[in-house]
Amino acid sequence: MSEFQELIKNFSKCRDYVRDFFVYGFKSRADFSAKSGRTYDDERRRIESWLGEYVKADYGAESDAASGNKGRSKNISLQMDSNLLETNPLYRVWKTKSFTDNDIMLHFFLLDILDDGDPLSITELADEITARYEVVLDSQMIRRKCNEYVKEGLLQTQKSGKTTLYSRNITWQELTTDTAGSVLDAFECSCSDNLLDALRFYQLSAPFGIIGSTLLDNQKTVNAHFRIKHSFFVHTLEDEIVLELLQAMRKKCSVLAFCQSNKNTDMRREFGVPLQFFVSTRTGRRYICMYRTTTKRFLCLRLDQIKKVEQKEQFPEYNQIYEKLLKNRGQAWGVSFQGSNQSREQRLVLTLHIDEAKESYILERLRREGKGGCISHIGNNTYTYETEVFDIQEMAPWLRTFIGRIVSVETTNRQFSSRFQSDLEALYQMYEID
Amino acid sequence: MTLFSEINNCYYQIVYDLITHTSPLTREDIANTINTLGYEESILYLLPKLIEDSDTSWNLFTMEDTVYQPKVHAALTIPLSELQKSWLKALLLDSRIRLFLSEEQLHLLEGHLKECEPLFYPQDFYYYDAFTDGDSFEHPAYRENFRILLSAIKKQQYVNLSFQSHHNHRIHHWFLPCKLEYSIKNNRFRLLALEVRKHSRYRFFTINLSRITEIIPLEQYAKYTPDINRYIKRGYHKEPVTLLIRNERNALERTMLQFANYEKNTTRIGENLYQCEIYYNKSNETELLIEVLSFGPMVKVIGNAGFLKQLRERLKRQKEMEGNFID
Repeated sequence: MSEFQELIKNFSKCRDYVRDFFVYGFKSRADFSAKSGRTYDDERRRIESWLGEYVKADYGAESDAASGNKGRSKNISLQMDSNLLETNPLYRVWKTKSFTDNDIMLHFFLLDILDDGDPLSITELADEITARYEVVLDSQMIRRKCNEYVKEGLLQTQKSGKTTLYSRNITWQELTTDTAGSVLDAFECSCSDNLLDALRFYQLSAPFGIIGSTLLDNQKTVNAHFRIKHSFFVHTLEDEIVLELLQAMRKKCSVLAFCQSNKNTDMRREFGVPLQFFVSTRTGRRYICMYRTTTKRFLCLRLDQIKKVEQKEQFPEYNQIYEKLLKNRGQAWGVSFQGSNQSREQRLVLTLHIDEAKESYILERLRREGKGGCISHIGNNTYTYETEVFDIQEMAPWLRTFIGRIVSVETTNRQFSSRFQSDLEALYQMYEID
Repeated sequence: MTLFSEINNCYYQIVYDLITHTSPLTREDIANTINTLGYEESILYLLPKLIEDSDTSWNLFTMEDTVYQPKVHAALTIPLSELQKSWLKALLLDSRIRLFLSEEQLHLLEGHLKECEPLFYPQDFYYYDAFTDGDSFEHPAYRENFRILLSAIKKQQYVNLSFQSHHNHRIHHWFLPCKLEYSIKNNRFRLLALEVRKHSRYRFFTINLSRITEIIPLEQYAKYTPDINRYIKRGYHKEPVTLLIRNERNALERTMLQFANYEKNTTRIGENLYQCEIYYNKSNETELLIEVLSFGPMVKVIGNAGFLKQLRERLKRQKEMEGNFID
């Protein structure tokens, strides 16, 4: 039986467990039936070790019919209130990659020897390691690690005759100073201090915040000044997929994405040209908008459902299609480029009762959330909001936020109108509104 | 370039912290650092690797008497990786970067990173439902206020602050700025501050930066950093909102994702039926109410009483107006 290890080789293995514990938090051991019970136990123990202070264990209902459990099952959840935190605790999951004894020794030995900036050959590095640290390491192993660090960007190479020399790359100190020293701003703050403040902010708010977190680690500092609202910490788990898609986008290449939804365990393959990430600030969903070459249509895939990406060949009309997307996306309310009844665009007129004296904030909401729809004052305390979108169905959640003020909803989609009305009836019934 | 790399490993970070200590370390010092920076079980693996004299130890320290002396020099700096540089380059393109950096500093960084491709461009990410009335980050007065507040937060310095309230009242008072909060949805900053009241008591305030008209830093400083979370939590409703979720039209997944940025507790109470408790700040009640309403009949509120009452009132008002849906 192998010994339990806190570190892991493969990120994707733990991605689904962390996500399920964080997003759902009610699943028990029996719900993770795709893998063995032993795998679940190891993953759970690791997550408890990484994120202990956020882990909460509950016991499910006596008989849990849906999961097929008999008796009380232990459920693990990750409880975080993003408004009260100064970093994303899920970044810890990115800092768990396993390594060998030689990996860590070489890391510090090489960076120590090369710290003064002078370039050295592999032979010189091997000699220095033996002399300074009394350790004999194979020169092939040293070469492999050096080349790996050249790819990572920590080291750079230059040639001296036929010999390759290695030196370290730019450091934080060098990045933030010029030849004359510190560059101070009007507040007498150095570039280093200001950039650290920027990192403290962006590690919470920018894509790939995990990278900012590693920079703060290296500078041995943390964020104590910034907070974030409306942030979905779980997005960090998709960052490796985002990185692969971005690399394809930079090269204007198509990709084959392997997707799996929660409803269906089968892996679905989607081929297309990735163009832009579509992010919702409200629903917690992120998508990659792709151009599907077979149907000649735009398609948005949920990032959390993409398990793997394979980069394919370059797409010659990338720029034209990207421009087309920019032209079209204004007509999409969310991520759908085609309505259910196949019509090109669907029209909606929403009439609202707004108390002009007391409820000007509702008008403000229409302006800032209405994506350029036309707002008209049609009578005393009565306004219309009018728009045309590809898929009116996507507007339903937003329209429901005006419940209590809706005078009428007129649309060109009969099915939508009747669903909207029947949902309202269901709400009246649910809350016994006479 | 890969994100999941051992160079970002937490154990590497612990070792880096230890070996760059300027003074020798005791066994206890090493154990304390591992326990502070590491995971719950890290000490079991790391301590023997660092202090034992065996074939599998890492040879990073020499033992002299009872203390450990790092073999590498204390001023060791870790070079920036390609991924870190390209991420920093991407930040330089962001509209908010000038809140932090002067033009000269920006120019310096651009020069050092000129060979590097940005990891992403702002236009790679389209926030399709973000509000369109965000803050004017490029406005000089806004930038100046941001910098004064950030500086005051760092120094725990009191400020004399004037701002326009939501009801258009002009408020002028002494505050201790504590945090700057950024909302992704609103694309705006808010100051989380404590208003100074009589007998050294504080009252928690949230102020939109765009509403601040004047800030005068005072020559007075707080002796300690107040625990802002204690004040924020006072604003939390004692009882959570409790939702019943019937998993139809993918409602379970949709609600779980949408409410993932709240502290919540979900249990399965029957076949296809779930109960979810959401803990929330009273100041966010209306926002949560309309979020719940957006799910329609897929979600039923069963508590707390105050939240349920507000929801029923909206539905009652709606019913009075209904019957006007025209195809």
